[in-house]
Amino acid sequence: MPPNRFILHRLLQMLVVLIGTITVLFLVIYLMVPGDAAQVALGDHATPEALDTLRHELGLDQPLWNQYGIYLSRLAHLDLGTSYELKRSVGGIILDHLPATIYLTVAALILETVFGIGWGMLLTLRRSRRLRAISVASGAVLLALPVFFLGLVLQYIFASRLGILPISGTGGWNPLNLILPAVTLAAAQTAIIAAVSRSSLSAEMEKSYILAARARGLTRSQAMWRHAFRNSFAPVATLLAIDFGTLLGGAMITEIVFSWPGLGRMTYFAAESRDVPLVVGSVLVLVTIFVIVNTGVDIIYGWLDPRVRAGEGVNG
Amino acid sequence: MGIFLRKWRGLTLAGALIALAVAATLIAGCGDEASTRSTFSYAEGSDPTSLDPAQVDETVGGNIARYLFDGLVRYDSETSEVKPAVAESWEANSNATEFTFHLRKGVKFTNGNEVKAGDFVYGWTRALAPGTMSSTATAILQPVVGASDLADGKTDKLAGVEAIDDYTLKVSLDYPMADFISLLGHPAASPVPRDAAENQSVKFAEQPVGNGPYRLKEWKHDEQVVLEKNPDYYGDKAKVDEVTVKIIPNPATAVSELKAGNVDAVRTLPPGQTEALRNDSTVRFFQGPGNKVRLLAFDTTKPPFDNPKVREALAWDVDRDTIANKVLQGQATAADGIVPASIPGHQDNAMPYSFDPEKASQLLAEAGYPGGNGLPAMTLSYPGVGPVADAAQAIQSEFRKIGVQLEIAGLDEGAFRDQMISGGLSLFMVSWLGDAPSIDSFLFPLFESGNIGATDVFQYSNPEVDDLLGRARSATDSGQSINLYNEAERIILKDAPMVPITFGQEAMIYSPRVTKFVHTPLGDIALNEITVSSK
Repeated sequence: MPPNRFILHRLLQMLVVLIGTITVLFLVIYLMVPGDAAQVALGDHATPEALDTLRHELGLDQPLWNQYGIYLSRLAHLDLGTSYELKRSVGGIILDHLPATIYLTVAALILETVFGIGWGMLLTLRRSRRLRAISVASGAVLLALPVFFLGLVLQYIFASRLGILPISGTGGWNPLNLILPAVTLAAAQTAIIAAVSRSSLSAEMEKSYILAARARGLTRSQAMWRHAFRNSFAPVATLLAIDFGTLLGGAMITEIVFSWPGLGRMTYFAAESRDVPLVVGSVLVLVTIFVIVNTGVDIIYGWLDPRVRAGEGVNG
Repeated sequence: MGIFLRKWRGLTLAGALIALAVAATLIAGCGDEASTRSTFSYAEGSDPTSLDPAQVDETVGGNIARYLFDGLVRYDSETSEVKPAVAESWEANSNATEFTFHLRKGVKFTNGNEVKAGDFVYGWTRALAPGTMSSTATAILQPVVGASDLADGKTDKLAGVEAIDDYTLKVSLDYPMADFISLLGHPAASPVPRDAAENQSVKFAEQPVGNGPYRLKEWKHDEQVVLEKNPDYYGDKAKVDEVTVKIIPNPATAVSELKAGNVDAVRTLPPGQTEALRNDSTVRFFQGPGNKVRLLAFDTTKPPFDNPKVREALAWDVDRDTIANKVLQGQATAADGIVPASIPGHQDNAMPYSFDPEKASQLLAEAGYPGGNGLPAMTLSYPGVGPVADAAQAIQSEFRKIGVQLEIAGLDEGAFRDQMISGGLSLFMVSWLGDAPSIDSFLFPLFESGNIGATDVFQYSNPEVDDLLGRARSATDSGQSINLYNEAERIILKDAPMVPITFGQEAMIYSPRVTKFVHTPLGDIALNEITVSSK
């Protein structure tokens, strides 16, 4: 596929996913809270007349298609509605929480990348059986540890006992406050990145061009750095791109343990209080970011690596 | 907060996740000024949903709003009795349908404007207007003439409230209600300065302008709310210069922050740690009554609970002491009636039932179900998870011993509420938090038959009770009024549309640097009365 058509193709795919998401979310609202929105907003003491007035204001008394139209036109104006519970604009609330989440996500992603890939390289270079065993065991522990538990343990050791790091909160964006939540968030995924980069790198190291490079006198390490690394990076990069999306919305527990004012925690509490516009708004924003990042990575890879454009895609 | 949803939220949040706080001292830092400023900080589990007095309907924002705004009256922090606030004095006409309030002169909003009668007219009208989306105003101001028409959007004026002059406010009610005064300490009845509320550039809910002992300094969502002492406050000034509410969702984290000296009090304790913290010598433990009652509720129109004998039998089989002391571990005390002990006018030992399984069996047989034979399949539903689930299990196992087989079902809070209001549940556990520290707010909404379909979730109707409650409302002599309420309570208990199980207790911890910790029976930390020692 020529590059431009490939990009167009990916962008179209992205659009389809987004429209699908928007429609599914609309149906969820429509089916889950048929007119209940007014009741949630006004509470138990509201009279039927007051409820009807508000339902009319919110357009809840209109037929499905009209409501869908209203919903789409609001989205087109970037209007995500008003939170039932907080009575503020959903867009504003999300913008309030997005920076903290992105800050934490990026930090976790950097930790994952550096330590995950480093770990994978180490295993590739040092083919020691003992190191392998230790690595498999510690990887399993990291994957199995519940995030909640890991967070509390780190808090206890580094903050309460040793007193070298803050317990929770952002501390007004103090970088020290970022360390524990970022490590907690990155732990499990670091093990996965390590495993994937090891296997991808090891497979690459078996290929004949590496043998040829070794034959020219390069050491294993030189061959890895100069040749194998770049070629083995695609699956890891894809994993990281997906991770970015997952971390954005999936940092909920970490955000709760560390009192981090992010999007995941906000969405969790919104769901708990059945604040439908807020939940739907943040899901929509998260899906959009996720889709855009993944499409971006696809396009960049298609551009770097012609095999992808040919349909062997790294993202399948 | 006469809203079932809110009550449960506080309850199960406590059981599940949540809680509290961090340090104010960082902000004060180490400058010269800092050493002279006293600070207090406490941990809450969630961000306030709003600080607009008309909108606050949960405990976090409620606690803050009560100290940002002063209404006509306030509640005593120990006894919950009604005390004058902006109103210096008031009088009612002989049948308690008209109240005249005389306002104190020189009370100021923090924007410098004087608080006048017109600010109450505006504040109440605004609270009831549909656009404000207040879930509490209708409960608090409902007796005022024209309140329903305003809330329904039929008019934009509140007919029953009038500013006779700047310092005289006249309120007319639709029906006699001597106890109306006791509703007016609720934030929804606060005065509101029109120019601040109608300012389009800042939202009043985000930057409220009040007249209370504190004013808002900063609100960083999901991080902290900082209050500073209002130097122009008309009454006793707050003891602490700055109060920081730290939002810490995980209770265990909050406890760590307290132990590290970063917060001074923690509002919600981690589940199961109450006893350990009570015995922890590094922290101070506080326990006090709350204005909450937990009920085992029946739908009195559904078999077999339409049979009073069945309800009575089950009422004899609820082991309140075990549930309060063993199951809920001191987060509650055994109920001795419907109205919690912290409410002025509470009568001791109104409960006609003790724990007596033999008597229960005997009554069950008299009702036609010897040994539980012949009873239909029954489910005991409750909202959420946590302590309430343990209490439900305790009830299930006692009932089983007298042959009453029950399924228990924990429902999502929203689903529970929907089903309860629509009459879909026949046996359930529910907590009620009074709108105000008054007997009326525990009896009238729940048991007066006019509330069937809304807050009378038992579908309970007894003309004698309706009559007593009506007369209690209109009695201007408070002793007589309390007698009538007490009598109504005894009749309701005998009819047993529900069985009270426990009264809520609030347990929290605070730092030894807090020299005076005051917690009101309404569930608030009395921010203006707290004192701290300098570190």
